[in-house]
Amino acid sequence: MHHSGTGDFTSQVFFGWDPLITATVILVISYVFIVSEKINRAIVALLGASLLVLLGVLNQELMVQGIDFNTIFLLTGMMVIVAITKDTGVFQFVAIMSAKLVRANPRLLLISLAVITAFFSALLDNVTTVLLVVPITLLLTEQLKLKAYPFLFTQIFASNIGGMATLVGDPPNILIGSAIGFSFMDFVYNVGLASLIIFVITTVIFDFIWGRKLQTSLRARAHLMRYNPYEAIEDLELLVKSLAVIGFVLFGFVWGHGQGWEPGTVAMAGAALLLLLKCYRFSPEEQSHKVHAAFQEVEWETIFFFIGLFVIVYGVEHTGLLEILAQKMLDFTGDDLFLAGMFILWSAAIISAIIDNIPFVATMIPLVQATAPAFGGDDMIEPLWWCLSLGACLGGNGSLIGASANLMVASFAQRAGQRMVFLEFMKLAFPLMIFTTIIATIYAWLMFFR
Amino acid sequence: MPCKYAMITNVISLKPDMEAGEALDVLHDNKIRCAPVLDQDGNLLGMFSLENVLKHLLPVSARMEDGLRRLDFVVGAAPGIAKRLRKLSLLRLEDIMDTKIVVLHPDTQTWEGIRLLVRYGSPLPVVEEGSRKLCGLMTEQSALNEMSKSPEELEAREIEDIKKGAS
Repeated sequence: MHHSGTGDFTSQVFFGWDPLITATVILVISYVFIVSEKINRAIVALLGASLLVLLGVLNQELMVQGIDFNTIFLLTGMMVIVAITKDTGVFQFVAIMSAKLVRANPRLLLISLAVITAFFSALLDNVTTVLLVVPITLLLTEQLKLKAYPFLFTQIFASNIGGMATLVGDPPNILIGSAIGFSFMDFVYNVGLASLIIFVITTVIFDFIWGRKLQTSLRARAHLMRYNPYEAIEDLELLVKSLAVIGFVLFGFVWGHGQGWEPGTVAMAGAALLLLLKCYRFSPEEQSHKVHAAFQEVEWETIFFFIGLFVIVYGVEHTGLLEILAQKMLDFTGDDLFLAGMFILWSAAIISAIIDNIPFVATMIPLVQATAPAFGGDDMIEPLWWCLSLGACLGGNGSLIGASANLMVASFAQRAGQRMVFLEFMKLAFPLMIFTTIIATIYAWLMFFR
Repeated sequence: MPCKYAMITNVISLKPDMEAGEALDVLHDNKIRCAPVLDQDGNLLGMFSLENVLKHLLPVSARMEDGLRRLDFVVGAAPGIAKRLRKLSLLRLEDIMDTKIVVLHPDTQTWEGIRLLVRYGSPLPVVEEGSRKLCGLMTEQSALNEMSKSPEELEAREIEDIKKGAS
């Protein structure tokens, strides 16, 4: 792990409090506030992190060590690249083009938009993907006089399942990949196939539930067919530059892993390169304006949430709590790797359906790492990481609050006057999530444990 | 120079239970593009404008927060847009009017009023602080009229005010 070597700092907490208990209390209270959503999660995480240092569980040097800058750079770099790329209008272009390709047939449109969502989710952050796909979906469904609900439901699933396929697709994967050093292709080889299978199966189910029954008028379809997708492209030159940089970044993820390039460096280099390509011809003042605008699109709330969370988890790790918890898990599963894998897969799925999967995965990583000696070393526990990834990503589908992308879709639906009801969503989504987790169980058994 | 001197007071107003179609006729007949919607006691509830109606004609995905920023790929008018306009004109004003509006108070300084006017567009309603009772509208024209008054006129008005205050 990147922050191994905890130094020789010994926690000396104020008032003589026990560091382990102090850190645990801070972790639990932070969790409660993050889950209850009464206070913004970034504020909670930063306050919790600050308390750990101010009370003396960690010192500042250790705090900085605890932050996984690979993840932070990867997230920030990708956000800058997406911020610039989305201004080119390419996402609208793809959505409209696909709508025209299926001749505005609503049943096929449901499927094609799901494919697009899954594809973009695999390459981009899920929240970003739905932020780009949902508005255009709302436009297309309004034009076809269709309820948006089936489309939005399908897209929530597509984004979480598609995001599972790659290192950069979903925050849990970023966290796992960064901590363990898995490459982009490691994810594609190990969970990419599961993502594809589950995506196809759920799409067939959605087609059965909604797709085959969708009806619209020929007149509405004819109108949609007159849309001109090429008009959606706002800046062709920038589009070419953006695609070139995204190609470079993907190449860097795949090829660079063997050269010791960390994904965070690759994403940051890509962001800097794209900023250069976008700005170099402008005056210093305009350049500053453009760079400023691009950085402003970075979701700093998410970034600072991650920073705070890393510190809290590191503090807890430092005091040894996670080793105790890992031992508890081992008491439960014994030395049966498959049982441990299933325990992780299913607890990740259920817990991620109820709470944000990011803090859960961040806590699970050192915990799973602590089990390595019992199973015979780091290489032996590799399947456990894939189980964690499968569970955390699929679990996000279980409820409207299971993943940030779900919340984003729900908030768009509300703005469009088509509110998604929490329980109505869960009535279908939770059983489906269980079903997909069963598929993942079978997949994991066949792939890793047989 | 507070805003109460820079507003028009003979304001044409609308009622919240009016239909949008009816209200559009009022706007048309009076050659205005915007009017305040008031409750029985003359308190401001919102503003209804031609822009309001146009905004509601747009697809919801284009008018919501973080929605589509452009629609230039949509070729031709949407089918049934005339029908939609007819449907819209049956809506009651309270369901369609703009309720997030910037307001001025009678003793807001005129400079601040003009700053807000330039920023948020004309006209801006002037309401009593607290009750939101409408006193008038500050428009570009009424603001300019106030600005073009000579120092003598302003001085005369000031003396008038002091006299009123003394009596």
